[in-house]
Amino acid sequence: MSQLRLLPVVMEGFSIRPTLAASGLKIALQGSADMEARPSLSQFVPQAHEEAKRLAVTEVFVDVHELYFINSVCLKSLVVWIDLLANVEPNNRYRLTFLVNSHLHWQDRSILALQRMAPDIVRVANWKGE
Amino acid sequence: MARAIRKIGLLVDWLEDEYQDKVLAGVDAEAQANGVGLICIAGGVLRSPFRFGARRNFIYDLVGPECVDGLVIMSGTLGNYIGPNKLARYCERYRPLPMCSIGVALQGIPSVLVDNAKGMRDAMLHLIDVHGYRRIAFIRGPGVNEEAEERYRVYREVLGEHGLPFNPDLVTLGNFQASSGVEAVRQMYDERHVGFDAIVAANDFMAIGVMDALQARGVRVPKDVAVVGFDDIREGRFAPTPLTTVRQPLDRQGKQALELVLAQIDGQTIDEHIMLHTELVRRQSCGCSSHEIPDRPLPEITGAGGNLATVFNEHKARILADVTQAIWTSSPDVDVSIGVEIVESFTNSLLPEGQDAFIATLDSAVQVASESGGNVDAWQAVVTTLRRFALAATGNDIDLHNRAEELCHEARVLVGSAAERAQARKRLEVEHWSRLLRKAGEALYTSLDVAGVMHTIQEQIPRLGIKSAYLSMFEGGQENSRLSLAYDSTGRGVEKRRGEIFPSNQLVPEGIFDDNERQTFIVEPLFFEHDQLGFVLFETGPAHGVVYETLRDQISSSLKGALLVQQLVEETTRRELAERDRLQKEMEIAERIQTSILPKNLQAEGLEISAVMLPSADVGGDYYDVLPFEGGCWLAIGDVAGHGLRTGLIMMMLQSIVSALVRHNPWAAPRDLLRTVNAVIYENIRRRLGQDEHATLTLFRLDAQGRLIFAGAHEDLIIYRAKDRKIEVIPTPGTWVGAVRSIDAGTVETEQHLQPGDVVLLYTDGLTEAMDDNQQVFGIDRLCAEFTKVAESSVGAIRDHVLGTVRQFAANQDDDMTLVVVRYTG
Repeated sequence: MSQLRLLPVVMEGFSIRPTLAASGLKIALQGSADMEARPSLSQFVPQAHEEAKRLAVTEVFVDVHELYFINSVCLKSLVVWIDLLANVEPNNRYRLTFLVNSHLHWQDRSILALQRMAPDIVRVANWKGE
Repeated sequence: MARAIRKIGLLVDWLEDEYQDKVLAGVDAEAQANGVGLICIAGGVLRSPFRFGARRNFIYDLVGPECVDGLVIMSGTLGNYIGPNKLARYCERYRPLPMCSIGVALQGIPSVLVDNAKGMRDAMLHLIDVHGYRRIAFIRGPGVNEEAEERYRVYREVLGEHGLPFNPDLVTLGNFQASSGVEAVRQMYDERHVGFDAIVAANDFMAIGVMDALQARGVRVPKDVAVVGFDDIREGRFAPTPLTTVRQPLDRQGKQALELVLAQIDGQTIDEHIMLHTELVRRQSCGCSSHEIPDRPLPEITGAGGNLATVFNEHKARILADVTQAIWTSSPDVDVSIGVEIVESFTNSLLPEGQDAFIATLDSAVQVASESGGNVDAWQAVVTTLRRFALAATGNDIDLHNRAEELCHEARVLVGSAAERAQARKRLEVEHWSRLLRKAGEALYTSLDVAGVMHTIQEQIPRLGIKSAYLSMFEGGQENSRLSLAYDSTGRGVEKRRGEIFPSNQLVPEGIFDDNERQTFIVEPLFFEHDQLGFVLFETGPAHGVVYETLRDQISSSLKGALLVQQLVEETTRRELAERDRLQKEMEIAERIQTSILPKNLQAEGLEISAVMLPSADVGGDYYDVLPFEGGCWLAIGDVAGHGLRTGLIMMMLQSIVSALVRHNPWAAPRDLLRTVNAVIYENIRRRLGQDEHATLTLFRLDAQGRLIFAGAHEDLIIYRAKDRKIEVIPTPGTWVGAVRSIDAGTVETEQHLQPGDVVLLYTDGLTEAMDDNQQVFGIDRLCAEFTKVAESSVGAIRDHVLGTVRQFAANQDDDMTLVVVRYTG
């Protein structure tokens, strides 16, 4: 498998850490995704999508179990991701799996809404540790 | 305008060459002698074809009676490209100021001219008669330069007088620059394939260019080709082969011109033209021997070996003539009368009882020559002249012969040593000025704003020995200027006048010039390529014109840079303000949209409703609606992701679509309604607007029996069950609208039954995600708790309490806050 060409984003209070594992591409979003995080996240999403296609992974795990807050504008970047993926030929699509923390109320509401938006693309699973 | 001290202007092209420097020195000396001020305006050659050369001409437009009482015009250089007729017409603008032209006769203007014809004739005759050259080439000046054309005319005339054929291939046009001398050599050798044994240039710079070009081709000067110039500039005296040339009395021209202007001011009658003599200076480039030893034979000396004093006295006139010639040739600025002292002290030193004063006298004379820029090494010719006479006069007197040789040897060592020192001093001086100017340039080029540039100039000027300076920048057009820098080392407090706006033709604001002291200022235009920025006045300090010219370049460039930076900052600020203004307006419009489409009537049968929406400063996209119908009521709540006008428009779309669909079919299933809303919104946002917004939206249909059916995804629904006095939090398990083409799969309906007294709380994330100073969100638990406290109150009281608590919790409102309280009364 080729080397990962995604750079991490580390800001005060928010980070995006991509890693490549045998199971696929894993992207951990941590902290609080507010207006400060919006430019980084909106730039990162299309890069991650392209990288997943380049690596031809079958699954991308978006680990949000330590993402304590996300505002609607940042959430929009995740919607954009789903939209990008929806436009890929079904045979070439990877699956987007959100690893959630059931104790965070917003995740129940918003991540499930994401899943309902594209149930054939998006999967939601509880985070169970590394 | 009455002035305490008269001021005369000198219009000069620039100050980098000795020609202009010497004329300026002459005018300045005469101005000092007469107690009048001098303003030297260096505005370039009129309509110069060189890149941006004529751009500096604008400074001449500022000259007039407002700043000077009379004008000296260096027409010989100013009019190089327009000729005397156009120059005379150009100068009409300065009337009624008294004027005097230098170098070129201008119609209706008194002139100081030099005898170009005699000078060129002497040079040609020397080449033909003394050296026997026959194929003599000529480099003309600019075609419209009257002086250059006169020299060319005499060249052809002398050829004709000597029966030498005129060959046009041996003539080229030049522009008075060294480069045209180089070009002339190239043309004649490479294009025309003509040979020549001598070449005469209409000025020294072109002759120096010729010598450089010949040397580069391995052609020896004067052995293969002799070269003669015109003017006698310093560069010619110090050329590897000292240049034979025609000397113009440059400083004398300046003095004479100023005298004529002052005489006109005083109403005296003056000659229309004054003609000054030129003289041939024979050095080595024509083929004369080194050190300018007079080549005429010595007279027969009778009584040689007898009384030396008697012999020298007998031939004194001849000795003096030769010594004077040698001094004059090497050092144009030394008073040749010192030759008498030199000859007498030399004679005395040879006599047994005489005083040994020769070396001291020679030393003193050589110092004067060195300080005035003369060629000290060329003073060996003076020693050679004395030695020739001394050896001829000593006859067989061995002791006298030896004494003469010893004295001459000592003199040669003195001259050699002085020449070395003079060269070293010149080199050090050049290094000194180069260093100062380089430092000034470094400081200026690193100043990035106009104030910084002015500060740097003020710092650098005293280091360059300039006593005062005034820099003004054009204000709007060229008519008015703003004094941007005022510096005077005498502490007259002129710096307080900075910022004053004044008519540009005054050059400085009124009262700036010192009325108690005559001063000489150099005015340099400030320009960068096509941009005319302003002008600067320097009170003369260093005598090197190149200092002022270099400063002009440096200041112009750094000012232009600073102005560009300033322009950039202003433009950026302007754009930022415009963008802020645009955003502000957009926000206002968005807020109007948002608030104007809110339901005005919250009356619905069987319900008590109270609602509020507080838009944040950075308007969000909250939406709610209450749409009663017979037998029930629709409620809607949502939030468009994003901020601003576009969000407002999408919200308006949502409201319109929901409203239309409900009116069309009030009993429609919320799920179906939502699917239709999504299809329309998706089409509008993604396909038509090409945007990527989406919205949370839950649609509720509540009927008179308390049946509440809803679909869509938004914040959890909170219901207060009056019977049990308990709170229920009910998710909205749907998906957002506008993000994907179809939400069929993700959209389900949920049904709840309300009992009379039950209260439903609908809200947006502006409430639950409101943050306190510790970045803690208000959260749904607090919301439920606060709701519980007042759930039995009126819907208005519930609304106010909940909202008040949230606002108390979060000092700053970052998002819209919407709260809808609905009590089912049955």
